[in-house]
Order: sequence, then C-alpha cells, then structure tokens
Amino acid sequence: MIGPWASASEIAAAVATGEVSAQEVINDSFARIEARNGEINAFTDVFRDRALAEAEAVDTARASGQPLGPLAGVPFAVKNLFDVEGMTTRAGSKINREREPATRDAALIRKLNTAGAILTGALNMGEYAYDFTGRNVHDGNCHNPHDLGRMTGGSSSGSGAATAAGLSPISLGSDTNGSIRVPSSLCGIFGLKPTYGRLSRAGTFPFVDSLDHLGPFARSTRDLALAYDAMQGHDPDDHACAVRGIEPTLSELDSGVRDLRIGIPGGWFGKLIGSEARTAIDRAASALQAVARVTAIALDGASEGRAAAYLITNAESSALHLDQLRDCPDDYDPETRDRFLAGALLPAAWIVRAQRVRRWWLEQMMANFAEIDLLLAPATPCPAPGIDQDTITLGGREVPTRPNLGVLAQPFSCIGLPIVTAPIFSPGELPIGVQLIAPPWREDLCLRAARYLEYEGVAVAHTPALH
Amino acid sequence: MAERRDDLDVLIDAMSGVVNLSIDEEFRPGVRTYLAIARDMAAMLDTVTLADDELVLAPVYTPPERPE
Repeated sequence: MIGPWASASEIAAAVATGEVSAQEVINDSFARIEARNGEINAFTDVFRDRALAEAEAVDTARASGQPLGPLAGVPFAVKNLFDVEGMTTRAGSKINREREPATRDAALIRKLNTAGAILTGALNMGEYAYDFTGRNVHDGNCHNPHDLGRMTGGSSSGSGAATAAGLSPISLGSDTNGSIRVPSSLCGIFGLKPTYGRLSRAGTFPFVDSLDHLGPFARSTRDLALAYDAMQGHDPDDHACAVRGIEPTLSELDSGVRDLRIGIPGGWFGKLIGSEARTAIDRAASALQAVARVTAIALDGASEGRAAAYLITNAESSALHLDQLRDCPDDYDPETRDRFLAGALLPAAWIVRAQRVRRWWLEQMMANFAEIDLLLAPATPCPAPGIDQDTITLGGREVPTRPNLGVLAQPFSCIGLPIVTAPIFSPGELPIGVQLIAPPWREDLCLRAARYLEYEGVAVAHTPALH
Repeated sequence: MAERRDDLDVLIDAMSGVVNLSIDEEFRPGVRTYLAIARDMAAMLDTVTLADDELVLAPVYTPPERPE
C-alpha cells in the first residue's frame, strides 16, 4: 500500500517496478478521499470509473513491457474550471451547470495522462476564480487541512486542500492574481505559477484572459518539476501559449543557488506583512545567504502594478460575464456578484491607464532583473484567517479579506513572471509561504531556489496536525 | 438614516443605464464598495509618470527575454 504522503515520484517508481499496481494506488486514493473529503470539501467530483480504467491501462502497459511515463499511476485532480470529457465545467458557479458537458479533456489533463498520471476528480474553487478565500456558496466552503476552522485561500481552494491533506499528490489550479500562490501559502505546500504563456490553457473556463495562468501544486519540488515538465509545450489552441520548445527543469533541480543574486523587497511589502510572514522571509533569507548574494531592494512600483492588476481584472472579467449579469444576477455568489457588477461600470480611461501602468511596471521589474536573478517576497500577508473572517488587517488598516488576501501576489502575475511558492513553517504552526520570483521563462531558477530551501529543511510541506 | 448619495451613486445610475445593466437596490451597497476600491486604485495609477508618446492598449503580450 502506498501511504497518503508518498510523493508522485515515489508512486511512479513503485508502479514502474511492480511494487504496487496502479489500480491499488487508485483504490487507496479513493478510500482516502472518501474518508477525509467530508470535512475538507476539496473534491466536488470523483471520477472512479474513468480513473480505474486509466489505472488498468497503466498496469496492462507495464505487464506487456511497454515503456511507462514519468508519472505512471500517479493520481492527480484538477480545479473544476478544467474541462473533463463528459462533465459540465462548473468553474465554481451555479450558472455554468446548465452548460453542455465538455467534449474533450483540457490540454493539461491530456498531457498528464500521456505521462501516465491518472485523473481522480475535480476540485472546489471560488466562483469563477474571483476569490482569495476558498469560500463558495454553491459547493460549500473548502476547509484548511491544518485547521478546519480556517480558510484554504483561493481561488484554487480544493487544489491546495487536496494536496495538503494527502488526497492528491499533484493537483492543478489556475492563477490570475494569486490563486495558486495564496492557497499554496495558507495550506503549506509548493505551487508553481509559470510564465504567462508557458502552459496551455486550452479547455479551461477563463477568468481574465490577459492574466490567466495554469500550474501545478505538490508537496515537494521534485513533484512540482515533474508535473511542470510533463505539461510544457506549445499549443495552438491557446492563443497566448508561447511558441517555445520544452525547457526541462527536473534535471537541473539540484543545481543550487550558489552565487545567485537574490533581492528582498522592502517598502510596500514590509508595511503590509505580519510577524509570521516576516519570520518566513527571514528564515528563507538566512538559508539562502549562506550560498547566494542576498540584498534588500526597493522594488518601486509594486503597489501601482497591483492597482493595475485589480482594475484590469475587474473590467475584463465583468465584460466576460455581462450578459449573465444582466440576465441572472441572483444566480451568482453574492461575494463575486457585486464585484462583477462594479467592474461593468468602470470608466474606460481607468482601464487604458491600467494597461499602460502594467507595461511601465514590467519595465521596472526588468530593470531590477539586470541586477538580481531572483526575488524573495512574502506570498500572503498572514497565515489562514478564520473561515468566516470578512476582514484582515493590512498595514494597520482593516480591509475586506476576499480582495486583499492576495495583495502581495497580484503585482507579479500582472506581468507574467514565473513564481514558486514555498512553504516556510514549523510543525504545529499555521502554514505560510514565500514567493520565489524569476525573470520571464526562468522557471528553472525559482524551482532550484525552492529545492535548495527544501534540501536545507527550511521549506517543508509538513503533514497537517489533524493527521 | 438614508445613505448619502455621492459620485459613485451618480456613476452607478448613469453607467448602469448606458450598459443596460440594472443594479438591484439590494446589490447597490456592495457595488458602491467595490467601485470605491476601484476609484482608489485608479487614483494610485495617476501617480505614475508615463511617457506622453507611448500607449499600450493590447491586453495580451509576450513577456520579453531577460536583458543581458
């Protein structure tokens, strides 16, 4: 039997050697989901028949001596905005349940299937991905495995919770303004938001086309790199997917960070974070500066970049939903509806200005990358708030939780930078993570830095105390 | 006590009519809250000095290579 905390690479190795069959792995996985999902509410759908058929195919391939993929027999699950053939793509909403079932799997599901991974289910999320909390009025709130009374973060709430709780060694989510990084931080696991345009978004329900990214969650950097490498490659079905070859990261994962120049932003970031986030940054910086050159930097423009991201998100997503906002506003989650309605009324000059500031902010960051190789920044201002907590304190001000929990993540997705979120906390503490931010197309650098912190015992996806 | 109407209410009334999007009175306080946040964000953008001969409208772009 494979335990709940086995990594994807361990599972794939055990399946490849015949130590365990893929069908056993999947049956064990469903038994754990059945036992734990009731209290966490991470899975909204399980695909038992499909998964067992896929597992049987892996076992048959092995028995006949065919080569197995790098993720053979590894269970994975996806945020429920991914198309799954034969299922309606609900995107966390009530409204989408009237849509026709998908006729084809999303591109990244097909990529992981090709690598041998097995789809077990679809995961809870904030409605239409407009969420940093993990609350959902239609499917119920998702609960943090480290403390069931606290938020998972969102909008990829089920992805963070399922992987943190040992229900899915790899899960996929989306990140428009922080929706991979916030749940990674609050649930204490690793998450990768690649460069904008790196991974295909074909077959997923959009939120903000010009800002949407997809990426993996895992409990180790090795699993993160394994999944990421398996999903790379140009896809003409996503108009924003870059025409680039596959740039593998796994083989260089242990290359370390010696002599890399790492900047830590002060200013705006320092003012917004609480003591737990500050401690996480200090611990990561302390470990990194043993081999790398760590310096404080000003990082001017981040707050303006965040403001640009907020307005572009608000306007673009509302335009996508305008017909439904006219026809059935009562069918939206009240926590997203009012923001969508407001976004439909914004003056155009604000949005054009936001696009110009976005470009300006990218130029500021690229100038910084002439001096540094990586940026180390807090992922969230605080650990998981209580699940009913409507406000948090930022820089001494009480502000609404839902639009502000991702405030430190928003500036970087706005300009498409690749980022790994690494969990920095001790067993028994509430998790919190840091962002390792690299120049465009250098996912390898942030994965290497996260791996270094993991190797040093600083970044660890500790098992939730409830277990 | 009736809530004070301000510029945001004027915006809601005018724009909702123009875009044919009725705003239920029940939703108005929430919409006003988020419009106020958006207004604060827009004010922050106005503090950035931008070149007057540059205009970036395209919402989709390819991130550049890192400078050498």
